[in-house]
Amino acid sequence: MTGAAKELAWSLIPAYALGATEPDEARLVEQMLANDAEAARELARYQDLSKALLFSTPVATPPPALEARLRAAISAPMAATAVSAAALAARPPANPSPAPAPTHALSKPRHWPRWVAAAAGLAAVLAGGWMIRELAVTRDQQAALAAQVTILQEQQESLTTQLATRDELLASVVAKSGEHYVMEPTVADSAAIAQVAWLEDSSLAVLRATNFPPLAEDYVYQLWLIKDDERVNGGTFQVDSAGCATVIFRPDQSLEEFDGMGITPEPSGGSPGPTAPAVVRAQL
Amino acid sequence: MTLYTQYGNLVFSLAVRVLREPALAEEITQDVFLKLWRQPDRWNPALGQFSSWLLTITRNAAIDRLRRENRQPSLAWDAEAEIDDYTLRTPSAADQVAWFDGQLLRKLLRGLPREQAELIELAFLRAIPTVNWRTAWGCH
Repeated sequence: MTGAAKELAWSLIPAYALGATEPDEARLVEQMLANDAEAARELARYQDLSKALLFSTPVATPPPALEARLRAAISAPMAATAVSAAALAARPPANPSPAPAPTHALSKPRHWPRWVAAAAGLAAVLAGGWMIRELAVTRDQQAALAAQVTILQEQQESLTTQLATRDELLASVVAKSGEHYVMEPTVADSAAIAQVAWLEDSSLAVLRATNFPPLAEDYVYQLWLIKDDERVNGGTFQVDSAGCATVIFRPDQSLEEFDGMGITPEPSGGSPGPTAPAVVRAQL
Repeated sequence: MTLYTQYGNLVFSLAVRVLREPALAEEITQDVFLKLWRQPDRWNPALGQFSSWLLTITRNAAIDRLRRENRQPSLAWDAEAEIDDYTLRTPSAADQVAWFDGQLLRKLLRGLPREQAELIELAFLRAIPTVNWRTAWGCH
């Protein structure tokens, strides 16, 4: 391929990617592509642009009747639809006196002024090159953000697992070493139960709740420590789908100084005092 | 019909863009989905992303109809049209990226001189070979 032919073929790459070349122009581009990796890369960039053009359309909503017609056509026998399609094809043109197609231009692909190709190529190159860069930058940013989100999600999962493991270990240690209190259900047919293990030396308590009834989304369970008929907030928690929870808390005073404990359902964020009957309760 | 729910808007929108006539665009949309229903094997992953392939056959079908109806492509470049705040109904992440790219491109096209934007519109959506562009421009 001569230098001039290659130059022409190169200038046709944007139009080729858009499917806007004549057959002999397309052959010229394809000849170059067969032996020129750089040209192939250039074409790939413009093909990305062509793909993006498919999605650059303003959204128009089809009428609901179209879906109904499509359903009917799918249900209809093939033959009937074929007849309908044939009738459609035989339909007279929407424009009864169309302007003649410029076939003379199509039949003389080599007789057009160079400036037209230059202008067209330049427009496509300028527009295409600029847009491709913009798209590439945006795509790179999207990819970087997606990678960051993935890393953060992995970190969060890892931390959640570590916390759960730590809680389980701590609960296990406290349960084996400290004082134990059992909070019994307040309703006869309830299976809810809560166990509190208390480690005096480290002022650490572990609450294990099991078989607690599920709550509405905007509700939590709240632990109350009772002393002289006064209710002190011990913290809020949620149970899992099985009605279980393990909660570590550090009361301000020794549990032995309280008269009792109870757990009530409360609105999210907790309440200053119990607003519902206790689910479980214990006398200390 | 799931495919129609997910891609019907995109197919119809592209057909309207090429044909500039909603009634014809409805026919094209119906034809495209009917053919897909009857020949689901027409697409295979080797052909690339499904949505790109679907929109390509829509574009081709619409251009065929333009030619069959012997219509002159119009140069009604919608430079002033607002970018749609539209949420794709397809669950594919690749479709979401393609849609984002496409809408960004549309925004960028609006920044081009009108004749350049129209040129790209003509070349891509109407498949007018370079040789015909001077006719479309009224050059001799």
